[in-house]
Amino acid sequence: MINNAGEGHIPSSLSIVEILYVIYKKFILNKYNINDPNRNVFILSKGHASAALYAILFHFNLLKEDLLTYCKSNSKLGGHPDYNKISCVEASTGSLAHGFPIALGIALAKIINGNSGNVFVLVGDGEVNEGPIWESIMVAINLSLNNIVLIIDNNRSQSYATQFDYKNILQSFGWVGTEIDGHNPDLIFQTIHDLLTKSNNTPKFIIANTVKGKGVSFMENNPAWHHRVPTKEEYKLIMEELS
Amino acid sequence: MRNQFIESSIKIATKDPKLLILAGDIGVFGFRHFRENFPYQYYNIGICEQTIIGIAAGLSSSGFHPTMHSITPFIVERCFEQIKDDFYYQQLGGTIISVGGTFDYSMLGCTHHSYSDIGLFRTLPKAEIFTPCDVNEFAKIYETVYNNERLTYIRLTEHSIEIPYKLKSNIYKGTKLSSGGDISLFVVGPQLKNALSVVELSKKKNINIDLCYFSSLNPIDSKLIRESARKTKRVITLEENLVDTSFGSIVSSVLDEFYDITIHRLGIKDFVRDYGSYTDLLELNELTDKKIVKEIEALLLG
Repeated sequence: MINNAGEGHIPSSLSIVEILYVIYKKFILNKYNINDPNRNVFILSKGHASAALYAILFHFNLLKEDLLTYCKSNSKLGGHPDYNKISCVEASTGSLAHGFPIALGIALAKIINGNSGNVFVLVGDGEVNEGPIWESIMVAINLSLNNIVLIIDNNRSQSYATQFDYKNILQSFGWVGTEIDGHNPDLIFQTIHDLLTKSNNTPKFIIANTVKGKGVSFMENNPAWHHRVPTKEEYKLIMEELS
Repeated sequence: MRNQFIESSIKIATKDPKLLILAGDIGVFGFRHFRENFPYQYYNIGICEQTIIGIAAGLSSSGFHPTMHSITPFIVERCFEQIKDDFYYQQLGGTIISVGGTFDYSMLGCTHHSYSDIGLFRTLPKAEIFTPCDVNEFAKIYETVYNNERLTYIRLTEHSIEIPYKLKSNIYKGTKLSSGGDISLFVVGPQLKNALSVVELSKKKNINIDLCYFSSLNPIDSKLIRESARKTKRVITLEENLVDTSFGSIVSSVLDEFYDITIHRLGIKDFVRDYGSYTDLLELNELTDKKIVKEIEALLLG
């Protein structure tokens, strides 16, 4: 998809594949209906990982577009997901720290209307630098948005800038959550399931420790690959490693 | 006008449970009756304007009609990227109602003055912009637009006046308040007070002004502007905003195909680094009836 377009954020997408797979397979797909106000909602606040989102949506038949139109003129599949162009995309993200407040609004709407369903929002650890992330962390507690599940894709892309113990910090704000290996699908599912069944009266979080570029040895934790499109030879090597 | 905002909100909320007021820790006392009567329709999100806009967008996409409220520079300028992305890009409806435009907080200095808000909203071409100066005018606008599924900006003023005329019933149309063949005077917002005085002062000098008042800056009533300008060939625009980006520029654009019409734009020309009263700061910017009359005379001589 990305090679065909000549554009994309491969490592940021690879770090969240398992997270997206579990959320969609176990929490979104069952009787999926975008118009059902009681549905579970997912928002990719780190919108630059759009390739991962489209791949998962396509895999689960929620997206019928040809993935090879990614980033092409007139395509519905932009470099960042568009709420108006793709019916199962719940927010247009791309600028960091917009998806989380929007998720809060959707969560609040459910509560006002008495609707069930949780709002999952996935942010990146770099994105956590942004102010509105912290505003949202506080507001979620103040407004008792207990149907929010925040997942931080902690692929340490920001380890050059800042590194904090987000688990303790979030707990000190009153959120309930834990830190896990973000590439273990069974663990991801069990963790979300336990949080949803045991913690009814707080917003919840998961710090998912991941590897940026997971699955491709020369990309893993290599900042040179953040926004780089592979050459033909590199593409071959990548596909060999991933299969 | 803040009191009218509260009254109109109560009137709307009584019949529409989808109106939600999101405030940035402002108007909490004023809205206490609203809060008591409609506890699920008022949210003091706190002093976090970017998040207020994002939350409002999520509420809008879920079928609510959010109204976002705080002080002009903070609910417009500080969080403009959120307005652009979360509302305009996503094509969602919502109403932003600001208080403290121009020099309403005159003594608090630059950070609390605001004359660039209109200009910013003009970078979102389909966003509606209103700057009412009369409380009943505001009420009509708000009660019409709050649920129109478009992004709408309404700027309140602490210096409202009672407009002694009946405005057009269509809030998007301008109203001719006096007819004259010498000069067109187009005005928005509370500068209408000066404009009305200018019409009287000018009559005494035998100058007859075609005075047109506009509630809506976008969409603008181009027809009225062109009709008047073609008649007089000389136009003065008057506002309490930055002329290069606000109403003066809008009028210039509307008239740009007419080579024989002269336009002088009155308003704020540049950053204002001073304190004092609202009147002091208007005087500093030559926005007094006497100065405006001088401009008119100069335009007629020129």
